[in-house]
Amino acid sequence: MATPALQAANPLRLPHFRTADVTIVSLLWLILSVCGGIYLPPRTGWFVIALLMVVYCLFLGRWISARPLGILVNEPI
Amino acid sequence: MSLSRFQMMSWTVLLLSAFFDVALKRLHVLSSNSAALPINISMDWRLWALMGISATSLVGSPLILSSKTNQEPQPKTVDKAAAALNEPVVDIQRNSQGTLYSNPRIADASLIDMFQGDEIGNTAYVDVSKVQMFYFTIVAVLAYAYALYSAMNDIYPARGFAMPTPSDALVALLGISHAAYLTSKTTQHS
Repeated sequence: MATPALQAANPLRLPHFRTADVTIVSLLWLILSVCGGIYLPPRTGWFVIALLMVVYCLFLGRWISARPLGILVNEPI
Repeated sequence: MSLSRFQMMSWTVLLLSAFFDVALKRLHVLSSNSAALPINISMDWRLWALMGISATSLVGSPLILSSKTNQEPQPKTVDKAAAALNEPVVDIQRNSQGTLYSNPRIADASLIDMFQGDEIGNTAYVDVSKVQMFYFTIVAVLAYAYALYSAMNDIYPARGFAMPTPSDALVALLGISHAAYLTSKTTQHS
């Protein structure tokens, strides 16, 4: 299934998120990243921030493409 | 799913998380020292080159493939792909974009896409240039992650922190890999 691409966007497609979800997760991500960066030891903090970035990417994929790895899916050419 | 997106995200997460972590810690610890430069975190030009190479692949791939959306695939090629993929010919023709194979729905995208050919003629086969780029990316990211891990032994020099410098060989290796990846996309397979 190479060159994955989407069919033309369906204008009636419902969003896969609610604004409240996005706001809460985004704020939580920011707060945890900053706290991890400040209070954890350097190497542990780095690992936690990297993990949080990956998790946030999974959320973005879920919200926008309805699947966690959606951030890796190509747009139609 | 796209290999160029995967490698771009890998480098972004690796470098930005390290930069963010070091910057926050240096600001927290060194802010009381008026002589210190807490956010003086230097990145060698080779690091920018690595990010540039990744970005070039991300932007270059759709540019190269867009020229193939106006071409018609050979009927014989479509028949062969249909037989190899065990899909109806009509479905492949309906979903294709020119000579490019395309998933009908976003739910059909999978990790295997990262290693398959882009065109109808080679979608049933492994694209070796993609496998090579995947390995190079994994090796380079892990090697640089280890270098960063070692460098984080001391992140509080008052004059600044330098991110580890990748070797010329690493940059050349990734450059060649990405060049092969992009060149293989220009070749006609349908």
